[in-house]
Amino acid sequence: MKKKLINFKELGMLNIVFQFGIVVLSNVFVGGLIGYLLMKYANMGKFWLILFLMLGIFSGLYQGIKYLLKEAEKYERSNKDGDKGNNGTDNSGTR
Amino acid sequence: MKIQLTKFDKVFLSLIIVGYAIIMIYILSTGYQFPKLGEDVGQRWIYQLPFGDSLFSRINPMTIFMSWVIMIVLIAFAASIKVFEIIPGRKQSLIEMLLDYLLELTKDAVPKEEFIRPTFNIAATLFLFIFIANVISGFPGIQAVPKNGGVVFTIFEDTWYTPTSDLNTNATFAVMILFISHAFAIKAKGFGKWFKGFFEPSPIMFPMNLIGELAKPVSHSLRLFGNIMGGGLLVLIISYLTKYFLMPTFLWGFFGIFVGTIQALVFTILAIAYIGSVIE
Repeated sequence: MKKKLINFKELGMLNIVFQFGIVVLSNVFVGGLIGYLLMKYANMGKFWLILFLMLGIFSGLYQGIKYLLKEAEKYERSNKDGDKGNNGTDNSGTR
Repeated sequence: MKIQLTKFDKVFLSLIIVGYAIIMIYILSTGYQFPKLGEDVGQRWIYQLPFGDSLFSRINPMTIFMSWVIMIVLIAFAASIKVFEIIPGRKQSLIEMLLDYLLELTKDAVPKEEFIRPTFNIAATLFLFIFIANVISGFPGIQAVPKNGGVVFTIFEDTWYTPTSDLNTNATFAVMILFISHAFAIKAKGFGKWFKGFFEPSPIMFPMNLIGELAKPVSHSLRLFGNIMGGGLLVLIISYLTKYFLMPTFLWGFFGIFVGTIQALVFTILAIAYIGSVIE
């Protein structure tokens, strides 16, 4: 069989790293935004901004690591399937 | 292929068209003048509706116009494939190859059988729209640019205006995906189990789960917007630096076609993944 010119699965792997960063940053952003809106429109003091920013950071790391674990699980599952298929062209064990 | 519309579709479409017609009549009757814009990078032509100063009373005419152009192009393309045959023609094999790849992705990500078809429909629609929108930003065409204190339409001086370089379009898609994914989740798991999912693994994690869910549309939309808008700005800045000595054709091609295709694919994959992860 002819090898594919662009392997979309490998592009997807590169995407994982980028996605992890984006997940962390967007969580921090949303946490900060909630804190800022509370501070500005509900007159709730700067403490809440800091609290929600911290929550955003924790949430970002939590969600990011959850995402990475899920991707790792998916990768392992696909590797297992490749071994079962026994077609020799699979990349299992090389990475 | 014949286009079939249900009664609901017809009512919905006519409501939208009537809305546009009312706005157009209002604009024409009040004597519209193009706004004065500075010659800064990233300026946009925005129309202020008469409902106060809120965010929802502003429209971006080029985004709406180009969105409709892309939709009409897609519908015309779909209608031009007359009959789906066993031995496919050129257009049919192109579209089949593309949609088959998306269907495979959907089958991998969505665990429940009954949600594969609706998810695929949403994903394929999104992909086709965003793909066309991104790729036309690699070709010269009609663009509204601020010049001499007003808006000037140029033809073949800049690339086509792309709706995905406007955050409103991307945010709409991302928020739509958020709502759709949770609606599917409630349908798949039942309200109680879905609500309980926010308190896992322990109730202390509730704020983090909530922030995590709210962060999804933010990252989803900003990533596409950043790539397309950033590409456009970069081309503009490099062109300014070299005073158009160097034609930005290569950069247009790179950001429009290469980055545009990848980002359209990534947006679709993420939409499928978000829907799949909530249903699980």
